[in-house]
Amino acid sequence: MMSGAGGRTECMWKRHIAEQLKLRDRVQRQAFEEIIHQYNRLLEKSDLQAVLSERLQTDKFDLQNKQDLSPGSDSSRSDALLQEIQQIRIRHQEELTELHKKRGELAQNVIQLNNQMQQKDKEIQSNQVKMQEYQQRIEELEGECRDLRTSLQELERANQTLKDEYDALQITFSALEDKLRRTTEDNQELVSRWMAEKAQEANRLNAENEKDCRRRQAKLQKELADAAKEPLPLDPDDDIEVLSEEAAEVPAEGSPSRMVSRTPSKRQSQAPPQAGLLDSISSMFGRRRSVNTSPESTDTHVGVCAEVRVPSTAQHVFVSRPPSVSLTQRLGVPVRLDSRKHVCVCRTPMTVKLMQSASVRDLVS
Amino acid sequence: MADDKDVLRDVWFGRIPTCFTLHQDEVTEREAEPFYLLLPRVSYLTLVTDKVKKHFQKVMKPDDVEEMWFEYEGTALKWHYPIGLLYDLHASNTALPWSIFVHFKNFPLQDLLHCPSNSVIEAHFMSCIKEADALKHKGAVVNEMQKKDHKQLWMGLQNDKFDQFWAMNRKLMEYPIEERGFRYIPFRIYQPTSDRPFIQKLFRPVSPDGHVHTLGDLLKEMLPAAIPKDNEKKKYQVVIHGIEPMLETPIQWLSEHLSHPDNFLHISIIPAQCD
Repeated sequence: MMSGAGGRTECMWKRHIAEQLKLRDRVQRQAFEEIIHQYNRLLEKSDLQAVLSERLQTDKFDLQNKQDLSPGSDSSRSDALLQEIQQIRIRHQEELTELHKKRGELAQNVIQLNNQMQQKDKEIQSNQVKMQEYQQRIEELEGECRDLRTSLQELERANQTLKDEYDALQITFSALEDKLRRTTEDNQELVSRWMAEKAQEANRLNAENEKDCRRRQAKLQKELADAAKEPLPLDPDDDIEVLSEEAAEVPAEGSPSRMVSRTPSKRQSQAPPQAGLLDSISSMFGRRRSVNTSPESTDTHVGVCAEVRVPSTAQHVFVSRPPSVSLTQRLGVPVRLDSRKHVCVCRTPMTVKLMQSASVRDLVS
Repeated sequence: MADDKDVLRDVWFGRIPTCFTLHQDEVTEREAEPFYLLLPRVSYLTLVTDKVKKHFQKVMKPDDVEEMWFEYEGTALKWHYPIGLLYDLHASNTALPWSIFVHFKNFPLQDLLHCPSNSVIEAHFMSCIKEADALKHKGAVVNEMQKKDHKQLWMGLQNDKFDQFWAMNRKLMEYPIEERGFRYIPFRIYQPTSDRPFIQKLFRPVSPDGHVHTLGDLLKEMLPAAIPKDNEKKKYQVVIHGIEPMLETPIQWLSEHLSHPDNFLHISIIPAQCD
């Protein structure tokens, strides 16, 4: 309802304007268009006529001057005048036709040029259309270019991230490697230090042993020397002189009861507190001799009756140091055996065994 | 829409038959014939009167020729107003053809602007278009146009090429649909007897409550006297392009279709005829 009314009113004012414009053009334009066009043509023509008549006037003036200069007979003059006017008229006629022709040509020209202009206009429009197309294409391409650029940037960023990660890992790796190297060095150093310490310990032990050994030897030598110094009443046939010497000694001590205790068992019980190892060695020497010889004879010699028997077990065991004994077979690892120090050092990194050549036993003599 | 296009054409091709006569004060060597011409309503006087100048210079001594100007019944005609407006404002309801006196001396400096060349007209025309677009779109459209687009507008007017002009002018007439019109309507209201050259204020095509403004609304706000009161005889005519549109006509439609090429709606308020 409302829209219908609106439509009608719209039609009304619009139609009113259209009608008014048409009416205006009828009154103001169409009524005058033709008249003004024609007027302008006439004006042009009259201008042309004016130019021509002016020229005619000058010609006439010239003629009159001539006439004034040469007054001849009336008839001939009028004839000549007539002729001349005729000639002028012909000339002007020709000129007029020529001008008309020229005008026609110019009009033709105008038409041609107008056609050309229209063509050019068309060209311009088509060019504009083309330009718009190209413009659009350019915009599209620019958009594409932008997209590509953004994706490139993204890729570059991703690449950068990866690179950073790689660098970080590289740094971590080198740090760890460094640490490993250092740890290995430490380890080696510790091992060598430990080895050195152990070696020192071994040295010390060896030295102690040697010292001990030397001391014992020295004592032994001294005792031997002492023993050698004493002049012994040697009975060439009997070799129980040691015992007899001892027996001689015993009375010197002033106790005859001691003679009873000169049995090996008594000796045994007496020896350890008395003089340690060397003493016992020396005593052993003595006893061996007594063993080797017949103690019974001694006993008999001494005249003391006691229980006598042949020693059934070795009473002393000595550790000897043979110059070189390979332990490789026993340990299953390469072993360097130091002959001088009698210390063997296993060269395996995991286990280093230091051992004294205690495995080899032998009796001294 | 076909009707609208016809209206645009009729507006563009409006003509006024004019008779140019050399003023009697001018000194001539011989009698000067009057010169008749159909003047385009939307153009400017100095742009279409080369022939008039040539015609009258033929009968004058070159020394006497200064800048040409035009006069109608004692009023110097401002060349920077469109011809249609000059006619509607000064010579409506007179007999055609419009009779204009041509002067070559005594240029009325206080009334007229000098117009030494067509580039001056072009500058004025373009400044009008920019002003109108500033009102309509805050100048966005005209600023977006390239130099050649501006040139196309001007060449269209100068060479009377309707299609060339409107191919570009169409853009100036666009507006966002949701706004239902331009920001402000570029209009000027002229009166023949007034101290002010014209009335120009900000006026929106649609009222805040969504009501479409009409030509009547515009006049009610700008010049209430122009609207006839009830039971009273019409005192003024409201003329645009030589016609009187109905007061119910929406002002937005008028601005789009009845504006001059300079994008302004030039409205003449002239006293109604007594008869």
